[in-house]
Amino acid sequence: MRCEEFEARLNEVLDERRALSSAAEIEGHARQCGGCRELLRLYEAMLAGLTVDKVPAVPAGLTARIVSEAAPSMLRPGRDNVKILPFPRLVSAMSLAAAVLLFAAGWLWLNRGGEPAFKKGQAGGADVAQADHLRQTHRPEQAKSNPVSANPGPIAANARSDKHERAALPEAEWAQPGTEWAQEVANGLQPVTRPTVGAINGFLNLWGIGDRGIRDRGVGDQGRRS
Amino acid sequence: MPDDVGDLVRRSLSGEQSAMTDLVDRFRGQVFGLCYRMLGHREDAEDVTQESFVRALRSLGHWDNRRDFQPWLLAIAANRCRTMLAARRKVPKPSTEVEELPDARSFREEQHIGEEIALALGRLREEYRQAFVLFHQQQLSYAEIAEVLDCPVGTVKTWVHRARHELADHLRRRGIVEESSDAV
Repeated sequence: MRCEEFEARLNEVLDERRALSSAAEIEGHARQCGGCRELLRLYEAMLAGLTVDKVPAVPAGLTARIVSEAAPSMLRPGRDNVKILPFPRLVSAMSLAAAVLLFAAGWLWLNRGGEPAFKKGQAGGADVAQADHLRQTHRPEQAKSNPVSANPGPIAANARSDKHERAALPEAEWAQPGTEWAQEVANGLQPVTRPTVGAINGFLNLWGIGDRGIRDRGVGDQGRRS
Repeated sequence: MPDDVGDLVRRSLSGEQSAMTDLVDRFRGQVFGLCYRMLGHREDAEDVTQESFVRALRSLGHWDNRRDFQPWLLAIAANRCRTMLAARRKVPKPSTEVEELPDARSFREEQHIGEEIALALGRLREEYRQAFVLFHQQQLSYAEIAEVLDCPVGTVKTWVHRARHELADHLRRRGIVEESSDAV
């Protein structure tokens, strides 16, 4: 063994939790080399010092103090015993973002095309009938004064003529205050505000999926065109 | 024993105070020993031990029962010791507390080598001291120390070896071991 290796060998023996005296090669080298012998004695003194240097006894009453301090919070359910998710702020932020996206998507879906559901479905007829039914329930006094519209038979025809009238007018006109459309809005049949929808449509039109994009593809506005 | 600890933890989580007492009693010696070795001050060690246990009990729900309880607990204690040492560094020592080294010869005569070791430990770098104490006095394995100190096993070994070297060097400078002649 070379002197440069001596201390490393001492460490190896100690790492294995063996007694230094048990390593014959260490003892053998120490007998021949004064420097290494001194180092061996220093290490032995260090280990002896560790056994002499006792830790004071644990103070009396420490356990009782610990338990009395910790127990109240331990008894509160859900206080500190709940496993906390990693990255709680990230999870919160992602939850909030998901909620906002869901809300926005739902809101856009309800207001798709910027027109109320019953107007979008005019070509079908069923939605028209539903809209007329809503009109009857919301304006009973008008239904009384207009027996034609109160009759379930001509309702669809009435609605269709209404639809044709509306289709013949530009949007700016039938959306003006005082028109029947505006009256329907006042009666709660139109759940959206058009300026807001217009703004969103403008945004969506940038990708060709807004009102204009649909209209350009001939998908929307069927009712108005027919 | 790990199963016992797991059972004590489970009962402690349900609010059973006797289980908490048993849990603290089982590990208080090790935690207090580590704190005392790290801080070198009995009252501070007592405070930090209490703080460490209270934190551990309140965080029992975070303990992963697939791992050993002892390294987890000692890691909390080691962190609290580091915090205490950092706080001490911020407060300047009063001039009256300047450490006076006793005469090495009297130490040798009174065989107070243990106190000399304690003195030398107090002068070691914090990481060296923690690793050394955990290995030699808490009898933890290198893997467990790595878990406690949150560092690689190789780093822990290096710290322990350097701690031994510096302690031996301190003892040499203090004349604990008489220089010997080359010839035998």
